[in-house]
Amino acid sequence: MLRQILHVDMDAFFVSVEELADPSLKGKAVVVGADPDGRGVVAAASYEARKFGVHSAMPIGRAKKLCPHAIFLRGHHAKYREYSQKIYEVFQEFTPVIEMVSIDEAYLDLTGSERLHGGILSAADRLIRTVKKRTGLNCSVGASTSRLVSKIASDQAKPHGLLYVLPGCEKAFLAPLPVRRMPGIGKVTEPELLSLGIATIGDLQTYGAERLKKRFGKYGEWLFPKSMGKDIEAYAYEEEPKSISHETTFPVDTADGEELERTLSYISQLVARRLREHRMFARTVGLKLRNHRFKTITRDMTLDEPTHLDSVIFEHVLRMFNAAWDGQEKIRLIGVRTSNLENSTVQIGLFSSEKHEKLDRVLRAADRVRGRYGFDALQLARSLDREKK
Amino acid sequence: MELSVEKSLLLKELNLTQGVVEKKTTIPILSNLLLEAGDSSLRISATDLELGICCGCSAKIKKEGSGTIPAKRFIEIVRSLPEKEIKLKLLENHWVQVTCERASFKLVGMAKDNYPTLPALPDAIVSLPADVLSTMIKRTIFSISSEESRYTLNGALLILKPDNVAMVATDGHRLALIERDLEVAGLKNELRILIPKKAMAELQRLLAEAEEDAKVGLSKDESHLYFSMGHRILISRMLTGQFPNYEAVLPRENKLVIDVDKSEFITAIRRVALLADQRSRAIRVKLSEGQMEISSSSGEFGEAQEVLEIQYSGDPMQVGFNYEYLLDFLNVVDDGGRIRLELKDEQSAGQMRSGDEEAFRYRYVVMPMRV
Repeated sequence: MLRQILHVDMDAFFVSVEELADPSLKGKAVVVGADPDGRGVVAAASYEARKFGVHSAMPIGRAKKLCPHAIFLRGHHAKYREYSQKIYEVFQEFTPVIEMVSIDEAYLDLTGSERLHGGILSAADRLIRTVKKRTGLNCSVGASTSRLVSKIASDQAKPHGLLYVLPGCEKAFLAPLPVRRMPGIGKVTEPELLSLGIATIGDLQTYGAERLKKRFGKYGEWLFPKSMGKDIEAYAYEEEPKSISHETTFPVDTADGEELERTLSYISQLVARRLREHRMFARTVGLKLRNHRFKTITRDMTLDEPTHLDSVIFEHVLRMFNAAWDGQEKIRLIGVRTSNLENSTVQIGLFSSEKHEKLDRVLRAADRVRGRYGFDALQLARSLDREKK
Repeated sequence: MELSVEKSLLLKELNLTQGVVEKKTTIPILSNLLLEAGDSSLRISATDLELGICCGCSAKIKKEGSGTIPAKRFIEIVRSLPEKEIKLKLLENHWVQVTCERASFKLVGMAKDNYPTLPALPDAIVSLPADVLSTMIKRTIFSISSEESRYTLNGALLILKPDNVAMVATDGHRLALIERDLEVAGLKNELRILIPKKAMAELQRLLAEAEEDAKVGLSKDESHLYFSMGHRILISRMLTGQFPNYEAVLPRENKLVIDVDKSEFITAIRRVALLADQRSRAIRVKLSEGQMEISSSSGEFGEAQEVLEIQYSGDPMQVGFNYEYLLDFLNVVDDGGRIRLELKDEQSAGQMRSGDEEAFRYRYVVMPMRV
């Protein structure tokens, strides 16, 4: 059976979400990311800002130089997550086989659903309209028989477009595109290919598998089928994560114990919520600290009762933090990691069960509130005041 | 210090100190034993600062005095020597000479002044029969948590009443409670004492050496517990903190009662455990008319089941347990008997007791697993 893969990519996702809240931003150069006077990077840029050469992952200072008149926003990540969740819910109406590769990008496998959706093209069209209707956001979709081609197609379709590469036309579709469009070919490989006279994906196709392998070894072996629009690995079905972690770099290194503690509490909640989303329990809880001299330490602790509760994770992480931090050293980065994950065949506790089950119900309710109003809508008191700084 | 002592007497005492001497210490003197000669006896002390032991044996004292000696090497040497008289002599610079027949050793000791002083033994509050204490330890110690973060569960609670003694231990997943009626002389009010796991294990070693009808004196001060048996004293730092309210979790309404042959039950669990998930160690116990089915499954290896015939006519029910928790109890409960398994539902604690009630009342509470 022919595979039917959609690649859905939200258009300037963070910026578009900001525009929904503040329509006056529309049509302006907007950059979402770190403090423009600090360090950190651009998370997203509006199409207007992109005209000035600003792109995501660029150091924020450079973005400011390139486009000094842009409106710089710190962003509302809880809100982005919330929108991401809404989009995910739309995806779920189309197929259960969804791989969210990031907050604003996903592969959907519609293989075998022609009867249900009436063909991939009409399904993709309906998906774009449904996302727009439910969220007010634009997305672009690539549709084809492989992830690779769909990914390149959605990029070609931007903004707010749909591109369907008919089965059998993959090779022809890719041929005229510059090699740089191919995921996996970056600023290292590109010049090397150019020096061989390979400028387009079509050139790769005619260069041939043998010669590519000879020239690039294992990597070359992999380049040729890609140039023909073939996926290298089979579609990855949703896999259980091996660990769940979150970390944050402070805008300014800090030795403020309260701030560190608040941040730790906040991160613990983020991690715990993701555990609950995956219906997992963590047996091992870890702490990561990086000081201002970039020295990183990690600490781990194994619990005898696996948990997905905010307060339990925080309590253990805090204990490790208090043991590991001398109260003086300036901290650059702090993180929480949970591993040794188990799904729900868990031992019920003798004393804790009632208390924990109550807490469990409270947190599930909290997660529902957060699902609607954003992650920050409900917090442990310990992490309040975090935003005031 | 200069003395001579029978090898067999010395070795017996040295063996008692083995569990107490710190093996991975950062304080070098704690890997030494303190030897004190005087009054026709040799006193031997060891401590890791959490736990201390004082014991000794009769000896011919030529010259009184004291010294310290590396414990591990000393025990190895004594073990290797013939069953003869061993001579010990303190030399200069804290060295200790050990001679026996034609063999001679000189061990590098350390200044005895640096050896921590063990607290003096206060008067005993009560004394308990050694065999009673030993039985209670054996049947509860395995339930003590070894996770350090739950330090109040790192020991067992000894509850002494004027006419009753009880010991209870739990790790938060299962709980062992043993009690028996006993006249405890000299006790007017209830006394509750948390005994650390390591102290219980060492106490068990001392009790194994006890003669029939021996008594153990129990005393305490603000920070230490003392167990004395004749010339041997075990000193333990006290565990502080609140032992959980165990009475509240003892099942009261477990109406599904099954009587099962102990050895059949053990062998069935052991067999089914072979294919249980090795991480969760979960097995399922399923009751239906006239039978109990024990089963397991592991994604990796397959499935196992075994059916036991029982008297049961209630509604079918199924509950999951960690098989190790079940075996821990079954392995120490008295032999020859039948086991009463008392259940309620798949979420509530199960309880096991030995079928033949004897002097001790012994119950074991296990929380189920969600399977």
